Amino acid sequence: MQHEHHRVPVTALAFWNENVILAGEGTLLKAYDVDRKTLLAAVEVFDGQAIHGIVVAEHEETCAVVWGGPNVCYVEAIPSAKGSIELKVGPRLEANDWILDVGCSGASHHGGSLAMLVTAHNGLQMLPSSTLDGGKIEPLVPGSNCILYCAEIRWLSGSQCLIASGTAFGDVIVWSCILKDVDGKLCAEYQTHYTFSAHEGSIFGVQISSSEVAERLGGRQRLLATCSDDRTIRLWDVSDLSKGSPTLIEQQRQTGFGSIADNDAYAPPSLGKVMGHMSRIWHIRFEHDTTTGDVFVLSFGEDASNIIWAITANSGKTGLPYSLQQVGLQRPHNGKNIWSLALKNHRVATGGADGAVSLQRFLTLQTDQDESYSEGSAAKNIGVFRAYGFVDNAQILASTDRGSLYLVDLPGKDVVYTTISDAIPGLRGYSVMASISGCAFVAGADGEVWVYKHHSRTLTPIATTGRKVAGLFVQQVSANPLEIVLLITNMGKSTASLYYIEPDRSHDASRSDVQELCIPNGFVTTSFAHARREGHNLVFLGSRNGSIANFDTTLKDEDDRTPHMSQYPGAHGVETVTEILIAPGSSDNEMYLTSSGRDGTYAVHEVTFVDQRPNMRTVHQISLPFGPNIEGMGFNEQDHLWLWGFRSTQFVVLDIATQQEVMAVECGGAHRIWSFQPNRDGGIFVWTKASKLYRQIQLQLPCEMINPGGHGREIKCTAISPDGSRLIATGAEDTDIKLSTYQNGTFRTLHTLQKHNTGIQHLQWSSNGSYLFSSGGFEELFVWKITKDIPSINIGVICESKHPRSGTSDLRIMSFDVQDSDEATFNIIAVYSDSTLRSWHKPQTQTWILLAKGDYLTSCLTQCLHLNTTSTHLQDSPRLLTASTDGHIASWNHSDELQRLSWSSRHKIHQNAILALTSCNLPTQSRLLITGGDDNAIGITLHRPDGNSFRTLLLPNAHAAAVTALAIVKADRGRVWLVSASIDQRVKLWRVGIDLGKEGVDGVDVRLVGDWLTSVADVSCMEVLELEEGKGVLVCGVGMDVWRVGEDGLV
Amino acid sequence: MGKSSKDKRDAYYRLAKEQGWRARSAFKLLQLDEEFNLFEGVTRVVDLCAAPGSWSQVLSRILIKGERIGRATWEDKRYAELLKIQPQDSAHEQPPRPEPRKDVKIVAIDLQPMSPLEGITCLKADITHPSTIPLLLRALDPSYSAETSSIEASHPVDLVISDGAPDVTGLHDLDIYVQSQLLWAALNLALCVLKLGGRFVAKIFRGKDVDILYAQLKCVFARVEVAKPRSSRASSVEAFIVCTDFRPPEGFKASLDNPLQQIKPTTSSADSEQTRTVRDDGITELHLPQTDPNRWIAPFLACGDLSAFDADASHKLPEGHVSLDPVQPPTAPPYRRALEERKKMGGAYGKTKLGGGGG
Repeated sequence: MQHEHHRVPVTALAFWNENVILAGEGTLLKAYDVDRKTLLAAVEVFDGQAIHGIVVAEHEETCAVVWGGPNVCYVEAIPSAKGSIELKVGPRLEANDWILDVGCSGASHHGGSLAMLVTAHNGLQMLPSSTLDGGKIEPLVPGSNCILYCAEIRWLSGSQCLIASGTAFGDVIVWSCILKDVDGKLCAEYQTHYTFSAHEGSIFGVQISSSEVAERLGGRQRLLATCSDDRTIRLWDVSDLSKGSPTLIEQQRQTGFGSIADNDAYAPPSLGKVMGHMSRIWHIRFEHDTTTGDVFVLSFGEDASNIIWAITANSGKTGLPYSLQQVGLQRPHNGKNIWSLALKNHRVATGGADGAVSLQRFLTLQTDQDESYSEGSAAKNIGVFRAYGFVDNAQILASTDRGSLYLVDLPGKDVVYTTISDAIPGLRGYSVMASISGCAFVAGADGEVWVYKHHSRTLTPIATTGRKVAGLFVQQVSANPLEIVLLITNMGKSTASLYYIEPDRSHDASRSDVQELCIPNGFVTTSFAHARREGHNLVFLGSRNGSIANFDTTLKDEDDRTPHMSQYPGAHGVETVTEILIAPGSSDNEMYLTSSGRDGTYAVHEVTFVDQRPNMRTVHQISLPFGPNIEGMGFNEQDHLWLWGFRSTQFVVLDIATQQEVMAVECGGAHRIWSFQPNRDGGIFVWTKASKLYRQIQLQLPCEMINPGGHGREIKCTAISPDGSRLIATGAEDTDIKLSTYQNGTFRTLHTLQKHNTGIQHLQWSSNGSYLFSSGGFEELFVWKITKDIPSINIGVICESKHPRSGTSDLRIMSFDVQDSDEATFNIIAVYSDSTLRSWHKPQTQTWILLAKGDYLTSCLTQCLHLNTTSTHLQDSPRLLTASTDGHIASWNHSDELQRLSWSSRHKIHQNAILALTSCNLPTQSRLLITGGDDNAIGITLHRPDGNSFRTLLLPNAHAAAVTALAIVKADRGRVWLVSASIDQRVKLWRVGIDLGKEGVDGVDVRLVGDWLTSVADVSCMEVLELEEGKGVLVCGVGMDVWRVGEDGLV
Repeated sequence: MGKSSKDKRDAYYRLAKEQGWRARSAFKLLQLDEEFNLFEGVTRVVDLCAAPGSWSQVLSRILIKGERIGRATWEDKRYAELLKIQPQDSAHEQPPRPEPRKDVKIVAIDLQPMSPLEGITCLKADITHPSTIPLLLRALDPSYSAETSSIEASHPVDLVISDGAPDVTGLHDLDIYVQSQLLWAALNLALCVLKLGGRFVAKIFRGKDVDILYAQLKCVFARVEVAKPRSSRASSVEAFIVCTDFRPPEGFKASLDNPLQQIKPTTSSADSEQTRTVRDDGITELHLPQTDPNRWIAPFLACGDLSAFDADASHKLPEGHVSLDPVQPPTAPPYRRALEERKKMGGAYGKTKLGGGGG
């Protein structure tokens, strides 16, 4: 097999130069173009070892040191044609211990630079010069018995380096080493300066500041920042290196927690302390703004966020001299853990457990916080704003409590207010507004509706409705001549008025064309969309009660009003439909309606016309990672669908196409007046808070993805659509299901389904790929209907049905097997964590019918399989098989009368849990069952229908650890090619020959064809993946890994 | 997860509380004993990374109080079954009686403080520190003096056990490395105090390159097996290495001043042929050649009665089940103070701007 591609946690990052970043992703070292976000090169550095660190020497941009575990080597990047580069790996060297950091000196008196490594036992070793082949690692300072989680080497000169080490028990050791040339041999003199208990938990990150940074804080020489399990970040003054401290061992103190009191004698002065993340903090870095001179600390945590802290001096005489203020927060990764980072020229790159590499601009981050402006003092007597509407990309029309209207110019340094109208009595105390580019409509309590035309800056009355206006909705109908449609709804009025307006023409012509729409009972209009089709004007209205109604204005009742044609209830449950957009379908007979709602979902509805009457069918509806207030949507310049709304106190914008958060504004929450105008990489958000206007303008994405990520936690199951679309469904511990494609060597996520409340246990597609089934804890088993070829979202997904719930049970549905009876009717066998199983019939209607129930013993069932008994001559042959944590497979019979499933035979294969099961049919109704066990074994079992016999050939040491995934990649003429994977991170290809003519398993021959390392830890599942050319397997766990199974392996 | 739902989800959590164990891991040692008869002829034991002390509790109840639990209950159960089948033979096969053992010495060591247990000497010490050895030897034999005796114990111990594990970070490579370092620390100490033929049981993570570790352990013990008690979840990488018959190579001298971090396997047990054996239960085992001398896959043994509770299954709670409090509250986490601070600033989910909570 050949390795194709993987997406695994990014455990090392370093900027090669301005334009190229190096990333350690499993065993591969990758080089990315920072601006183009393209992969330039990838190379495997160590055999069977992931990369844990990369360091590029500051002064020379030709050579990097890469390490992982105890392995280390030099890597050269050689520019090649077309802006690409080639990574050339030098000789691999091995230290005698795990490497925590490597430091490269500036040019030393020897000429070249020196590279020193520090180990997990605080030993110091020298790497041979990069220019020499055949050199070896030279130990300089032996290690001790203490175990470190982190260390940093900083060269103070060409011959002296300072090391800060953080132990598992919360101690920090600061020591230095001076290199001396004694008779041509390099010797080290080392001294410990500080040994102290710095934190109450393991220390995961340390950094020694540069002298430039330290200089800013009271003219100090160097600072130390530490972060820990105890959730704090602490700053220390380690300027004074004249001090000596005994080593940890010399102190003869008991290491471990709770022995703090005895060693403050060798602690440096504490400068500051702050409680950081709500999780463990993995990394800490100093950064300073060279223009303002401000000093910051950046922390990176288990919570997948990074926080920027400003260091400010405390004025008080008591307490610590500095405090740390949070001035920025980013959450660039899914799920948990930022494992790696790199900083260069105020750019921060982070690598996550989700496999993503993200890039942020440090300066943007912290100024963004101050982007919001209250109204300027010059405009003090403007009053409180009531409503906003964007009239172009940078300006809003704003109405005030007093009834005045202002044009507000947002982008400048100061917001500029231009009076459009002095107080209009009808707008006093209450006003509503709707706008599109070029004009805005505003109305108030007296029912008078005004139009503002932006090109002439004029305000004119357009309609008199006589009642308080509840809502205004506007949409452009055609561009040339400009025609817009305005809908006005009034309080206590059962009709809504529809106006067609051509703003460029005179008023009189437009006023006449008014249509009255009869609003259904209980319907409060909250959203509006208009479409023209075959000469008919169609109107879709969304309601506060979650329904969508439609109208055809050519249809009129006797009072010349248009009644609604049909109503589609529950489009968003019973929650407000906040926005509706219409997109044309592939034929004249269909269109697509996209809607967003306060039920936390957005939806796509397919509308088909029969005799001019529309029929609506929801083809897509999923929850978003924010909400429940999803407030609106639109398309950006690249035609990506964006959705926006609120998450707690933040306004959030999400790009559906890239599945990335575009913008997040801390605005205080959903209950305020706001307006949003999207642009290419963000937009302008204005809101009222404490009676003031605030704005946030974002012209750049806060985080750019150099390489997008996947699940933030380990994947538990996967299933690949059998219909040729090769849609990959993955379910993870983070409770998400992701639908992705694998094309051109990369994964692309289309949708993230967030509905399960626990980690996903099992996924399966229907045989035609139009349904996906997923199970988890709390008796959750969902049926997802998949619809293809939907504009702008590609794949539509709705949760069509779910397993009935007793309401009290927290049972996990460990696995299930689905058989289609027809396109939308299924028979489902589900196995539960309490050793029971149930057979369900799922007709197209909503109700599930329980066909039969069975009890196994006490052990948890882990797998199940329908047995296709196509032949009728074996009436009493078993219907299904289960596997369980007791290592047995059991065959089950079903008696229809008793609605009872009972096991007819049990066959022991493994010593304990069966974690994987796959099978294929053999001639003469026989079946090959292959099982993977927690006992490291693979069981190859022949099931012969005559006598229901099971015979097993067991490979006890198939792997060095639990066998968790199996896939049959090819089966032909008595031979089966099997791929197995285990948490030992090996992937093995086996050839199994089967001669059914021989007794028992005598005819089963097993050969190991090959054995490879996967960078995916905690492998949980595997599926056969059809590649663009040929066949492969997809291995999932902590990451995803694609292997091509070459034809040469299958002989 | 609430106490009651945890009771349902985890039978051993519930049982531990009902039977007075400080932690559910007590069952792991009991089930290891069922399979390996760990305590046969054992009177001197060192329990490493002992806190909160559930393994020491097992030692105390079996060795000091002579209770018939673990292997002994299994034997008793078996005996009762034999009685049913062959009642006539029962006359001359009396079940063994509970009997406290003589001269029992148990020393428990941990960095964390541990509540005392009767008859057990608890030491708060670092198992990697050279000074711990004389401390331990003195605890085993009060007459021991570091000046007169060699570091290799004058009265070596029969069994060294360690249930130690680090707080996992989630970075698999690192977690496996740190766990292996803990195992080496335990082994280094065991090498100093274990008698020839002695036993060593320690927690191991079955992950990447675990076969290298097995191959190295095989150099100092005649038998090395890896065991998974039923009370350990199938979904967990945790397993236990059970090493019996301590046989260090000729001239081997252990010390903590110069701890081992690896042993180079000297003899290769590499075989190149596939072999087939038919077991009594009819399953044919196919043994594959293990060709790399630096790697060796230790035989795997699942232990604990098959009828024992399954750690992965959900269980119905007995009628009228009352959820008990844990015997000992969990050790204070290092972020305890952070939680307290948070509470002060506005509750556990307080309205502070700290961290990525809202982010």
